[in-house]
Amino acid sequence: MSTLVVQDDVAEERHRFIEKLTPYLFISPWILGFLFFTLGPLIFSFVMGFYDWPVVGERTFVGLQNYEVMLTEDPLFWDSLWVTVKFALFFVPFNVVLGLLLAVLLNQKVIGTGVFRTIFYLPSVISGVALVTIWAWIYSHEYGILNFLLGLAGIEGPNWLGDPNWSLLAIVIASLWGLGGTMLILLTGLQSIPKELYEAARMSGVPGWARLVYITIPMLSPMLLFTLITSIISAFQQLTIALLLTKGGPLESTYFFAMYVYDNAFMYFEMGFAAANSWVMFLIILILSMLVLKSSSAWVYYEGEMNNSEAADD
Amino acid sequence: MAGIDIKQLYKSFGKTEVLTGIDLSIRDGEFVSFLGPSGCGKTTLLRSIAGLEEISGGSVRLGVRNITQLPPAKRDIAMVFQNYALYPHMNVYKNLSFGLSLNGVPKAEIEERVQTAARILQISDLLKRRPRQLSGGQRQRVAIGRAIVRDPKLFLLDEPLSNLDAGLRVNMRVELASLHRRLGVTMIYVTHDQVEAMTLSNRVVVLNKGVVAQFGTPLELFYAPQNLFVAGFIGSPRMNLIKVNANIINEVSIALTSENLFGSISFQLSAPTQQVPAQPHIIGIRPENVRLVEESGSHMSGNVELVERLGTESQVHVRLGSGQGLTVVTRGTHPVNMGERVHLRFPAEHCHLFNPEGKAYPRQLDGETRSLIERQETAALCIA
Repeated sequence: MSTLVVQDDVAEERHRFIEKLTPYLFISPWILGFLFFTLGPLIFSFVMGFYDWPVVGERTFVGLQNYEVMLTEDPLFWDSLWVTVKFALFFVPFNVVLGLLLAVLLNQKVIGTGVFRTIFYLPSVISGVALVTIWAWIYSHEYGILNFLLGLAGIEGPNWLGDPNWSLLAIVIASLWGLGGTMLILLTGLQSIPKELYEAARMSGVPGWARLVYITIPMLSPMLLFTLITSIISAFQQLTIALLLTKGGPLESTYFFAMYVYDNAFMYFEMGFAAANSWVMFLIILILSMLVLKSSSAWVYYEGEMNNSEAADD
Repeated sequence: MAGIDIKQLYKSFGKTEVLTGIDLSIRDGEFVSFLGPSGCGKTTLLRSIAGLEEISGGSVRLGVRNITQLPPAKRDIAMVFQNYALYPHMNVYKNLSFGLSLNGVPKAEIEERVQTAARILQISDLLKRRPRQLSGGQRQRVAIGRAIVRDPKLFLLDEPLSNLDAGLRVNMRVELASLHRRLGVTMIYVTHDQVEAMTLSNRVVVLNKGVVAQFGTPLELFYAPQNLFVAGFIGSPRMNLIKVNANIINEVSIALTSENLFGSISFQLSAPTQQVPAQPHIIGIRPENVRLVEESGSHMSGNVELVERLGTESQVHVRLGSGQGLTVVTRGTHPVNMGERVHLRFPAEHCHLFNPEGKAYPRQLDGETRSLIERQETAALCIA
């Protein structure tokens, strides 16, 4: 009898254990992926950054030397960072503002809205390389369609990818081609705003621009915050388009920070140095994101947010 | 302040006709309800008046102005929405002042208007709060306040109490009535709740399938419904309807008979008629007017299916031999039991008679009822 009870207890315990384990088993593919492909490399690269780490040969601990060289001796670091900042200064506002305008336009009740939504989102589905190839044709100095069209208007188009004055702008424009994602998020946000708010505004004679500024944008602010942060991150990580379209040229006018890291790692095989570069990029993105988040309390409005002290008293 | 005149208003959404030729004349300062079941077009009519819906035909005048083509803001009309439609990211003060400040009203005047509205609605201490931090009733007040600060000629209220719980709804109803008295402005109130419509309104528009079924004072709708729809819609429990044959006796009385009816009922008309159609007619009698009597002198017999005792009254559900069900309201302590056989009498003076098309014959009302209805009508007229 007593053994039976003990056996029951054991069985019960095992059962309970399995029950607790089950959810973790379900999420384990993601957790393992995160551990091995995100967190692991992250920690590993942090360690690497303190080493002189060639791909083949002896690795030696050098402390903060990589960071010191980067910040004080390598002008390419500052140059590429400046290119990236300039890019971000154009890309981020345009990405958010144009995404918003497109979303507002596509939120109108017009015939063919569905078609337009698909068309605007389509570029976001095309793979990076194909997109770049298309843009290479568009920008081609002699045969490109862009200069052809400009020519029709009597304007002699610049050598988009060959002129250091225009190349960065060309990359900004090509990057904005993918703002379908931003548009989509903002469009979803727009559709969740109750239409009565606009009707109430119309009744009290609030003009269209004021409805956008005082109702749409505040109501959309959580989505705007999200797209702002993701835009900043993607701006600082810009690599593919520039790498394939201009290879950083001409005269390093499109030599992005990510490309600098890439070259250090895979052209010069200085893995330790490249790891240190990556961490600097990580810190820059982290600080910028935190600044944006910190500012958000002043301009982002969350529907669900309420302090206990502010709660309604009945 | 101004009355409102609606002529031949049509509205369709695509191929669906929602409003088909509405004619209404609402007097200056009146409180009028649009009452009807869901889908009857009451909200669409309200929104058409507001200018939020483009109408397909007809005209709307407010006072002497034709506002048919004007944008909502230029109509001098304020609207309170069913779900309040407060701007959630603005505090109460901002919610009230937002429209004014964008229309160039001087700051001092905005301040004064907001404070006055807040005082009237007793929300002065809530001006710093956001809608999220308010209870349902408080939000409702803010929504009304937003209408008050605009000082409009006409208030439109779209089921403003439907999101409140029962107790609060009664309170707000009383407050709305006193607000109307205080402001003296024309108000149109959309509701599907007949109690709200009957208690608040000077006159009620009953809408059915996009047309006005009847427009009159609450008691007129109750005692003199013009058609079957209004008769069935107003009053709870619903009016009992029984098929009968009608034969004219003389020009002011009609004899009503049926194979299920013992004897006949002599219906008295208030206006003479020469003939009645041969098809079956319908008599309507309200449950509270049906009498439980002895077999002799009764019009019908049936079995009690259910007795619902509500205290002050009991609702007795009776199944007739023909299979039809009737409801009888008796005093609360009436000793009637389930399963019992009961005998019903329909006093002629309480019967309504409808022709085969469902249109009511004008019936004779007793002096007391008539004077009550007249008093309500005079009161409604006095407002203007």
